[in-house]
Amino acid sequence: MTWAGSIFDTAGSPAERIARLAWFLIIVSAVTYLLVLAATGIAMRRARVRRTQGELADTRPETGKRLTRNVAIATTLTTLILLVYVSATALTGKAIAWPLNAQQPLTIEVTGHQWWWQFRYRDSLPSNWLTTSNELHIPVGRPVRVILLSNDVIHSFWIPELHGKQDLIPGHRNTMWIKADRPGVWKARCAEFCGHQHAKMAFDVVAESPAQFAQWYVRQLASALPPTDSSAKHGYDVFVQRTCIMCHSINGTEAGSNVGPELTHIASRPSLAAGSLPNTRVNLTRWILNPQLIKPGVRMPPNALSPADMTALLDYLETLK
Amino acid sequence: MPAEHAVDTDPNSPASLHARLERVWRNGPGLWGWLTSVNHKSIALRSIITAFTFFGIAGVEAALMRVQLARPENSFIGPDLYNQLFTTHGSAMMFLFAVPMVQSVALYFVPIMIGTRNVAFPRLNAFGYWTYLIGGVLLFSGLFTNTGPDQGWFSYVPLAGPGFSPGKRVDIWAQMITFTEIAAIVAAIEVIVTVFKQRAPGMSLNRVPLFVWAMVVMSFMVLVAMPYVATASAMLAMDRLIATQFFNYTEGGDALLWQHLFWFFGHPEVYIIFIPGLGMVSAIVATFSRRPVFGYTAVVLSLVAIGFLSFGLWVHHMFATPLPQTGQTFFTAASAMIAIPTGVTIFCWIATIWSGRPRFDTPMLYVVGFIALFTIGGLTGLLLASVPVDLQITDTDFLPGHIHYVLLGGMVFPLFGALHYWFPKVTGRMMSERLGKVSFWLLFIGVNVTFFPQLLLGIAGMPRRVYTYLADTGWGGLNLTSSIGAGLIAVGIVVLVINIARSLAAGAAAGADPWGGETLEWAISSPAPDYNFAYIPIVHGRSALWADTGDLDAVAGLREDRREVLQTTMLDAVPDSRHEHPDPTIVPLLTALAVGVGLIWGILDPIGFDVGAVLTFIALAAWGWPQKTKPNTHEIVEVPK
Amino acid sequence: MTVVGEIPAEAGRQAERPLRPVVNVSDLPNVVYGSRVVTWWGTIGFMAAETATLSACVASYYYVLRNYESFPPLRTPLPDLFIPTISLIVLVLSLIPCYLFARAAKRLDKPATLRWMWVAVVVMLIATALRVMEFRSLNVRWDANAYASVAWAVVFAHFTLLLADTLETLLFAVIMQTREPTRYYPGVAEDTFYSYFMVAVWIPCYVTVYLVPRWV
Repeated sequence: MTWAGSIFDTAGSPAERIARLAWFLIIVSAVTYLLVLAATGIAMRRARVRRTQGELADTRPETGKRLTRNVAIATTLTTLILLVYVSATALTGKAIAWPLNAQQPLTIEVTGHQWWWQFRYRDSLPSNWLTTSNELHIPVGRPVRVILLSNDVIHSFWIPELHGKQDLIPGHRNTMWIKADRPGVWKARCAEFCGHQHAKMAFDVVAESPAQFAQWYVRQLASALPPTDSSAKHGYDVFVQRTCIMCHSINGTEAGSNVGPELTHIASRPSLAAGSLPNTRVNLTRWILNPQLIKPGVRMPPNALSPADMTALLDYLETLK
Repeated sequence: MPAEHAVDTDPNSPASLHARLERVWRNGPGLWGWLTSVNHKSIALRSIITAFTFFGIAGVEAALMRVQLARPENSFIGPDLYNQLFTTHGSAMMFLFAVPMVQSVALYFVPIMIGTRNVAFPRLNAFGYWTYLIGGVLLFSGLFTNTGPDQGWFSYVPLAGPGFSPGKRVDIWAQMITFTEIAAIVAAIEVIVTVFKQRAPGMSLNRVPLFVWAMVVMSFMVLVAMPYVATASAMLAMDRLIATQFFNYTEGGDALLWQHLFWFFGHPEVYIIFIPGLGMVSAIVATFSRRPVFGYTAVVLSLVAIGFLSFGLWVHHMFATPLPQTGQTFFTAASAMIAIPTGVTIFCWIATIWSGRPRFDTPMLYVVGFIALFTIGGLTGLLLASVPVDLQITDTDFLPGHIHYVLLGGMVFPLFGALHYWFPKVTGRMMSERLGKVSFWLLFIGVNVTFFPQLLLGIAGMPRRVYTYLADTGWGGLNLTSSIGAGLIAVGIVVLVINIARSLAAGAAAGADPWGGETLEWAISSPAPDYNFAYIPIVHGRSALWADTGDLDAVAGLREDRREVLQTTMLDAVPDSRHEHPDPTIVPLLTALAVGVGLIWGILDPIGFDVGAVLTFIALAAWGWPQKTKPNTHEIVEVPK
Repeated sequence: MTVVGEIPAEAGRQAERPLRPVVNVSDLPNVVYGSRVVTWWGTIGFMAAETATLSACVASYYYVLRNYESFPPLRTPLPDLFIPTISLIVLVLSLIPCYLFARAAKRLDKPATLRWMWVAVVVMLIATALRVMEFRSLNVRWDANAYASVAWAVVFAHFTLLLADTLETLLFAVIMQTREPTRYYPGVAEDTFYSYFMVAVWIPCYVTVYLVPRWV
């Protein structure tokens, strides 16, 4: 079943094994439930017959023995079902554990912030390490080791199509692995209440072929080019002279703060504000003017920009592909 | 029931005896009498009403949340208020409704069911109530002044710590925990000691009613579990107020320490709430099936087993944290294991119904509803206990779906059944069967329409504790359905309240024993007199009233000019000693106020704790100080050998 | 068991069950000792809750210990042993007068009870004062780091038990000195039962806070 976005919309091996186990357990649960309802219904029916026939309650020892036997059978059956349940759980747990014979995994360090995601790709060459925000690309078919850290409070990293969730706990280093077996574009969400905008702390996940991934990687590593047309140049000035530069970084410019998401390639991102808005010029305008209207409580302040400055800034940001 | 002021020349007539005992055992007059009461029924009844009030407020909060979630990107409630609503909803339901309610029901009925006149520590009982009330008022004062706690009812750090929750919101939550923990421990001690020492002669342990057993098991659990949450919340308060570093990883503390401490309490807590429901179901099933519950010993052992096992499950709340994998699977197995004794109890009730002659009045409807709803809750619980599946569905809307099935199915439904069952005993009037059935069906259907979609939403990928969601998620339909279900529940509660009001005003007279019950509460008038039993009854079998017909053997010789109770031995309930109980007094209220001053002022300034401590000591000294020995006191002393 | 009939058809008809006295208990004692008294059981209940509280603090101590490579943390001194050990010894010694006044109380021996109660009060007050000094022996403020916080938590949690017991004994001593109600003798005897618990439960706490950092 592919209910888009659900835990059954599987695109990778841990999620597939889990979905299979979930289905199995749901079916076992449904059958158990029907048995319990049936037993209750039978008891109510039998008792109603007793009532209409004018009999009193049956507390005879023989009946007691029969009932004891039936309760024992039911308890034994329950125990057996639970044994099956525990075994299936253990087997699946083993199956989704870190694959020991994995090829060289891709390692990504995820840092959760209130209320956005930072991804640091730890390539074998330190000079090739890539830091990006709110958009995660992974190559199909290659295991990815995810290291989970938090900058502030507990968050939870969850891509249902690929695997269950793991928490990002300050002071702890949590690891998990994911692997996409088919290409896709998904929305992942924070899954641990982390304050005001927990509801709007999502990120885009793109699983693509290794070749496409490599291309994307190279493009992301590239620094931003200096703006050429005058409006964009003015926009750059707005960026570095106003408060933007205090929180945001753009590789290749003097903006180097990592308080907020880095923006080197913001124009190529599918969404804004940690998955809250599609990335359009209008939305970016709304967001910059007053983020508090879209994500009340977010750490970014409103920015009163004149229309001219705003147009210029947007022109500049659009060059950051 | 004999008229209170009947002019009677015979000092041995029941009417005269009743008059003498009433004069000794009744509350004082007016407001002062209300404030100084040490009668278990008075205190329990006001506690039940208080708990129901908190239930209502928390229920309104839930309705508001469901309105907000009915549509994507709704602007009815913003994130700050929403976070306060879901936090206080959960906290109030768990700490101000569920546990106090079941304990109050126990404090009302356990003494009567075991044949005594009051709980073991009447003043402590009063103190427990006032402490609970102060805690509840504290929480909602916070909410209504926009300082409501907003960090979730289990208050994870560091979000709840000094770095990320400025102000007093979390401190209010932490102190509410302290108040309710004190009250819960007090009530637990009352139940245990009363049951151990004040049972009617002949009521050996294997003749104790199942409801009483359930409350005893639950009370032991409270004694062990509650201190953990109190310690945790005290540590959190100290991190916030005096800069301790318990949960601060930069100084060697640990966010996971909070989770371990909290859930070591938190998991038993839900069984603390659930086991009394099992006790209520036992009482109802026996009476309405016209036979004692089948498998008494099995049920008792199962209750004890559930109590013990529940302490070994807490890590299943922490599967998404970096704890070792093999350890986690152990907790899956333990969580599975607890389903076995739970199943045994349900099978025994089904056997009781099968072999009985049941009549499906409203209380029995709630029992069947309990089976239908709680089983869904339990099975979804098994899904959550399986580590791999849990990693997908934990922290999604599946979880509120699960917890409401187990809490509503496992506790609220038995509670409402018990309400219809025991209302006649408390008030002397019957509730309306017609309205009872209407509210039952509204609630049963409402619960399913509200919470089944939430199970699906969790599977669909919706996280929990979100104040809104985007339209392109496709979650709008299920959320709207859930919200409609919440409306049904609200209507059901309204009908229930109307039923209560109308029945209080004009319900049919109940008499002493409208249901033909088996336990001692049905032997006395409705409502029960302040002294419960004119003579302490002697019990000859497990079903006290079904073991004998006609007159009940009883014990005479307790004083009629002062409050005296009979104490019996622990195992076999042989009469052992007499014990004089205190008269009404204002000291418990003053002590609770002293504790309140200390804990609330202490949030604002540490000096408050010291002041409160001194005041509490003074109040306790007044509590312990001997009242003047009354005339005609004949002390019969028996020193140990 | 008699067979049970139907639920009564009409609610209001049933009267109460008449009670027929067959036994008279007016000669049962009303001043008894030990587990025959409800307060004994109530004290056990409080002991259970307090044990749980202390075990939560001690468990937290060991949990935090795992977070450190060196323990106590670098630049945090070990707690002193001198005052804490004296304090422990005084605590244990305080049980002697406690035992003696309990024994006297069980005999209703007023002079002996009072004498040993006042001795116990004095010794317990000394123990309390030593415990206050003990906080300083921890050699670290509660807010320095997590180790300090849990060490203070264990010592302070137990301190509340010690303080409660001392004040309770003091109160009882005053009551027995001024009023001497007969019915208070069992309570006096049972107060020592709580003292034994309070001292016994301190020993693992002492080991944890003062000895374990020296062993790891």
